[in-house]
Amino acid sequence: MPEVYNWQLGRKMTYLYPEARPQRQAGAVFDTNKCIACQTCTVACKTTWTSGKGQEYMFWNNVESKPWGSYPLAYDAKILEKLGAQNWDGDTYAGKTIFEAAPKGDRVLGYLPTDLDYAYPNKGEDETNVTIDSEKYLLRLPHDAWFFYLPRICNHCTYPACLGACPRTAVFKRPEDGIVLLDQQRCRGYRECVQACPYKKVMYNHVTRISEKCVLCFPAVEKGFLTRCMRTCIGKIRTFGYVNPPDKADPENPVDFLVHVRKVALPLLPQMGTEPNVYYIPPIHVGNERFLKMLFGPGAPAAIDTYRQAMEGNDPELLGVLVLNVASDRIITKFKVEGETATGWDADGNVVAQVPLKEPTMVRPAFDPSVSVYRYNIT
Amino acid sequence: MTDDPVNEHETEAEKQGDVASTGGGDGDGGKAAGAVTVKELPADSASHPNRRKAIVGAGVGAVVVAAGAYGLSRLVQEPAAKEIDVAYTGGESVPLDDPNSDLWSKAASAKAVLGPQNVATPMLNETLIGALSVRALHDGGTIGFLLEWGVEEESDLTIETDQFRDGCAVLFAPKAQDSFRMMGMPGPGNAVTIVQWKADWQRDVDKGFQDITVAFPNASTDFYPPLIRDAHNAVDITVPDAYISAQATYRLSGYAVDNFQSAIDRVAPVEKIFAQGAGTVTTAATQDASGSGLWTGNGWRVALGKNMQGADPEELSLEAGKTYGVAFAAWLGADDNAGARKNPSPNVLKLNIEAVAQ
Repeated sequence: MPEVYNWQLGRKMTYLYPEARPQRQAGAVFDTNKCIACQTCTVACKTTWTSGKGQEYMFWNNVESKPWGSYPLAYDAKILEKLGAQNWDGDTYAGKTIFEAAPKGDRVLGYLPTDLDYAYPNKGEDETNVTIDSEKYLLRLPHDAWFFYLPRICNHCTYPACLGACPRTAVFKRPEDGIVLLDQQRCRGYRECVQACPYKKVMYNHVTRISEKCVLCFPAVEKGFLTRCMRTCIGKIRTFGYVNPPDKADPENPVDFLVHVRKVALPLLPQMGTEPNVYYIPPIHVGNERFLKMLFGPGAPAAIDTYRQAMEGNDPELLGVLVLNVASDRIITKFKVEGETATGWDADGNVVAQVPLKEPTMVRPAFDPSVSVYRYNIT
Repeated sequence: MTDDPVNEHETEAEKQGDVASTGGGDGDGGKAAGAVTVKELPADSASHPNRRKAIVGAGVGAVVVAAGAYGLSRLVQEPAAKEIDVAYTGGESVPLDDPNSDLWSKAASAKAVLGPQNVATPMLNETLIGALSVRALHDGGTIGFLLEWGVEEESDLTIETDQFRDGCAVLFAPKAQDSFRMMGMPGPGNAVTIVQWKADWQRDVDKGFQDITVAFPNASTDFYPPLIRDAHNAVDITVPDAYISAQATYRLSGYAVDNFQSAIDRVAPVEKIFAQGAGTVTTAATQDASGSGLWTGNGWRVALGKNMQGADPEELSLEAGKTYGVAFAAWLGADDNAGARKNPSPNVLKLNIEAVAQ
């Protein structure tokens, strides 16, 4: 099998096809600290793409509560267990990827979920990592008892497991933007892709009897607009744009800045080896560093420190790029922070967003002397 | 000698040279393709709710139990066929719609050995269907095959994510080959014609399109946008009719782009296919192959065939009195067989089509 370079692992690895990076790679950063699991993204995606008959349990976008929530059920625990030990030697992954650990006769290490696994998308919702007793109520950071929300879509990986596993080459990666699509004319429903994807973001349609996956709203992206799940995000947790490899990182590109310059955004389960292109700012309140390293790789503790610095007002540039999240429905490809304002430009060079680093606030006195009344927030 | 007639036969077959290598050069090449033992499942198969029950007893070992109308019980004792003779019916139509027709007894039974597909990934490392019983007829215009094999439990639904179907296929090649890669995929420029029968398509044909309520009888859905329906009662809308009338077939994307796998109004359980190598399987433009499969209680009896005169440019036309190549394959749904994970013939056999008497 060809050898390819996976920068997230800090080493070469084997893959089904030679390295062929797209002209540009669509990518995103999700700030887990701001996600409130309102599922607006989930519903936006569902009503747009997967509300047909046969797609009842199909959520291309879902938000799960970690550590216990998962969709399909225990997808992460199952593949992690199959993969075996996943050690890192500094920033270099010393374990096997799902391609390197493929059993004899298979292309990728994977498993096929059952329909019951898809039937409980909110299993584990708001469940903490431990049973709460009186001790755990102590307010200190990071928390002893914690959970956090993990919004997930297809990662449009650089080395997609679904693409590698498909014997029919029905899955393809677009050279112009790296979006991974599944050809609905070519698929014959073998489900090799469903088995192979470690994130389980390729799904089987019960009526058409072939597989389907997130299309990253390519009709919108082609016109410079955000995807449905991104533009409807009321928590404004999502940065969408294009991500370069580290040696070509552009510090004015919001995604590159978060991933490569500040290294505050990390891939999900990088040890799988697919080089996913959706990145996550890890939760700062989680009191289990090992769990975060398992989920986001060895960079998790440093990312949390960097994020905290920004929240304390010590990194206006980082704060600036984050306040631009979903400030426009256009894809912001360049940003700049000047003074107290962050500005975003689209690919055509138009200013599409200008946001203050700190939202102006006004404190209204409880007593209004002009009419001699007390005002309450609830009125 | 052992007490196990199945394994004993395997040994005898090897001595006779009837068991061909499955090829592949990956260390399994010398494995007996004619293996007819009842395989135990891998340890992790126990996690699959459907598998163990369905597979135990599969393979030719089970065929011994499943003595059918056409002498399946003798299959284990038969030597592996190197040639398949296609008998002329004398003018009667090949009964592709009736696997129980007495006409099939006009053709001699042959044992087509199958093996694991261990040449190209994704592979099937172990075969659970060691052989098929084959009978072949032609009437001058149509060529047909009767294939039989034993399975303890049928797999004829593909609604759920982990449901795979039973199936079988006949491949027509211009000539026989001693070695044979994949399901007769000889490479670019040499397209082969395949007819494949699928158990789930048979069920669709027999009982109408098997919608989601077949697998999920308690399913309830409020509505499917943009279709308007009473709340909590939308799950019984019909596909594709409701979507066609609402001009919303884009919600059934495979159907909307005419993927034959997603067809909903099926008229035949058989697909005509062309291929030129691994991963090149293509649905034929003209779907004129036909057939019919019956569940016998402990196995499948399937009639399938096609017109001898090809309808598409890529199609191999067949003439009476001439010799071609033929190969077979079977899929065991309970073992999650699909696509390349199949049990193919290890080589392309001679297909002798009897001349039409003048």
